[in-house]
Amino acid sequence: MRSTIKRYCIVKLLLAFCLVLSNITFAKPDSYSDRENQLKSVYMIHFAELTRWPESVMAAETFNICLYQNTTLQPYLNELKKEPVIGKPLRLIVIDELEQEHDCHILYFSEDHTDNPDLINQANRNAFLLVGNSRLFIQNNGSISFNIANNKLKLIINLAPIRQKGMDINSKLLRISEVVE
Amino acid sequence: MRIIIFINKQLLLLLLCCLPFTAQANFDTLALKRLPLEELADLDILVTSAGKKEQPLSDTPAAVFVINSDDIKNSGAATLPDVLRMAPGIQVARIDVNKWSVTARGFSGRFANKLLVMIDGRTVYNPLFSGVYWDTQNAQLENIDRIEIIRGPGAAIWGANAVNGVINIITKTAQQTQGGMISAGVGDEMQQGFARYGGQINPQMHYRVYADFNNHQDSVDEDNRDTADQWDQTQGGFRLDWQADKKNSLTLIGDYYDGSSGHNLAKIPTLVAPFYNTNDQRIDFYGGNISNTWRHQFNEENRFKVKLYYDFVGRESDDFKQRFETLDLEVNQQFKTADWNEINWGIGYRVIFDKLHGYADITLQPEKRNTQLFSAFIQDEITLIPNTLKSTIALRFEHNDFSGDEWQPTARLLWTPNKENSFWLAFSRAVRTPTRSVDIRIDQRVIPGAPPRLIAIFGNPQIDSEEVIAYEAGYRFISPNGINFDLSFFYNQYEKLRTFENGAPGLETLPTPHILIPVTTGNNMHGESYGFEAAAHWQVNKKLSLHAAYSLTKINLKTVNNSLDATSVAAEGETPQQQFSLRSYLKFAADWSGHFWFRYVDSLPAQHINDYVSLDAKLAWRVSEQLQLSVSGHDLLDSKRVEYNPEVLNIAASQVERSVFGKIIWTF
Repeated sequence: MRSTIKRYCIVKLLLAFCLVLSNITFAKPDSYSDRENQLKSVYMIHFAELTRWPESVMAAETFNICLYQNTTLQPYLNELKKEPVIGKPLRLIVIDELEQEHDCHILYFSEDHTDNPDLINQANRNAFLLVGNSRLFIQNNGSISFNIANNKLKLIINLAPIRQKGMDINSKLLRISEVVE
Repeated sequence: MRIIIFINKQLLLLLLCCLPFTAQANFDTLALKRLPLEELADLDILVTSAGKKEQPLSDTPAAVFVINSDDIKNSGAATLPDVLRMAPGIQVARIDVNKWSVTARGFSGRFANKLLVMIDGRTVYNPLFSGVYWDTQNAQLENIDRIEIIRGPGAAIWGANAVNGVINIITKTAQQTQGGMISAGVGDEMQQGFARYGGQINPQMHYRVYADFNNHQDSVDEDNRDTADQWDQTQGGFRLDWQADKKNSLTLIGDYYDGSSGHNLAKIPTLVAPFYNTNDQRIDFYGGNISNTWRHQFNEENRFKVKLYYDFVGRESDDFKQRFETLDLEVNQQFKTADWNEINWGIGYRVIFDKLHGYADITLQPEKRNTQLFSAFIQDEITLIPNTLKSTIALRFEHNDFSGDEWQPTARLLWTPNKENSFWLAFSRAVRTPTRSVDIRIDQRVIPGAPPRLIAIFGNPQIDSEEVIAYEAGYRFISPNGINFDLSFFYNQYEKLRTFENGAPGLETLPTPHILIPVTTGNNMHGESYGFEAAAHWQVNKKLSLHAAYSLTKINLKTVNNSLDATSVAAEGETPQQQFSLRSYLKFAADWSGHFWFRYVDSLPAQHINDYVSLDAKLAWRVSEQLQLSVSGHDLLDSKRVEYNPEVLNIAASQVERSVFGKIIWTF
């Protein structure tokens, strides 16, 4: 009898738990992606806020983040557009060809494009901060790379190409990153 | 059909009411942006090594549950088996102070042998019976980064004995444990001390050293008399991580432990009246290991790893002495042949040197033996539709000295209609290979008479591997803002399960004439198990998080080939059919937090053990950045209870007692 009552209570508790969950009103989603892409998007804003930019960027009307042939970060960056970035509206640009004239302050390459040295060289001429997804990207003169290690999203920062363009990275960001000089 | 039938009305309602929130979550990216950078860098992105490579949980076509270091820290759990109680589909029962039954999807028992347990990729099961002596695996909870629990066969990747599950304990890197930590804990049932220091030799090379001491007091029997199951262990070790250059890294890990544990009223059969000796036994144990892993990255999509470890364990009691030394080499490579195709292959070689000697009721012939294991596996992950449909096929070949060649395949399909929702199907075959116990004899008991009759269990060198064919299906929802839901169904068909067969009685003249009734192990049982597991995690807000887990496990067994074994089918009733766990973690003030853990565990009819409800609670106060105090209570609803009765060896059951424990942690 005791056992039956306990079992009854357990099932009811489970039901109550789920009903509480199911009745909570959530806003309708306007984007779908995973934790990794969400974190990358948030970091992109931190990169913008914690970089000392050249005058031309500071004088621009918008802060421009370009996504090269990829839209995985777009939903999250759209959410982040609600707040200004370095005092300017955030503008997202998805680009298919580097030849096109874009005013990219940060240019993001997904995993599919981070190991192409020619592409990165060309991008270094067209954009200020290049963000990618591999160590090879850093070796190929990319600026910042995401790297997954021990279940965390880590950063590798390559200071040489950043400083060559007259920029610098705030020590707050350097403290949590692996820095390559 | 059975799988459909057992989902009764209430469970269907449960599923239906849980599903709506999977389609309604929104993501608070702006809240993430406001986190301090240090906290952002410390967020887990939920990766698992279920496929022997790091991959997001959402990308894993297997029933995986991850216990991370925060779960462990917040829970107040003091031992590794207690931590494992968080996972759905894992059955944990404490037999006495130092013995547990830990199984996945059923077949419980102290000598349970269908679960593969590893610490940093090093197998920790005992080669004698392929189960785990949990008193020697008191992994330092402060050093654990995460525990990945894979329910269902993982044999195609991880090897034999990963029949019903794999537990992979992954410790923190030396970089993650820089600085010092000293903790001390005192309770009415146990005392603990732990010290750790991590430093940097150069920017690329980090290390840590640690020492740990645990003492657990005797429990009581049903008449409240102290039992003899006190348990103590001292352990020390180190870890070194070296990022030699951009492409090469090295990890060196070493541990040594020493301790003793006991059990109550062990009955050793004798051939003279009263036909058994009863005494409290002490077991001295020791062990150590050193492992070296070299990782080479040819490029981002081509990784190579060589791992070599040496492990030794020893146990000595009045009636039995055992020592095993294991040398294991593993080579593993993972590379992409195309955007849509990733290969993961590996080869391995393991040699085990053993020395076993029985003084009374346990004997082995031969007493020394070297056994070898060769293995090779290949896994191919094929993207059928980019970001949507992926198949994984894997095959493992093993050759062992007991059952010869073994082939263990798996095929898995993962459908991710979007990044939050994923569905998976899996088909696998796995085996539990025979072990050194094929050479064992255990004198069980003596039936008085003239002459007396001795019942003894004999291992069987001709025994085959136990086999399982597993069908699994799962659904997983992962949202970035902290709502996760995981559901897994399984149906397992077992063949050639181990039985105990009575042989023909015969006369044995030594030490005094008696009738020997031999009981030999055989493969004369088949059966099925089925059920489902559900787990949900909800980060309600920054202060409150909830974790719920439910499992249903049913087992049907039947002997074949005219077997007269009536005891082995009892495994049906030795696994709790239902388990439920609800954990809540609340930061109710800036420096105060509380953890409540409610569990329900179903009855064990075959053992005449009632179901029970348990409540653990922990209150923690962060006095400063360096100092934390906590007090935790375990099993607060019952003053004592029996969770599981010992089997095979004749020892008395102990009670699991209510306990309180206070702890101080100082970091510098």
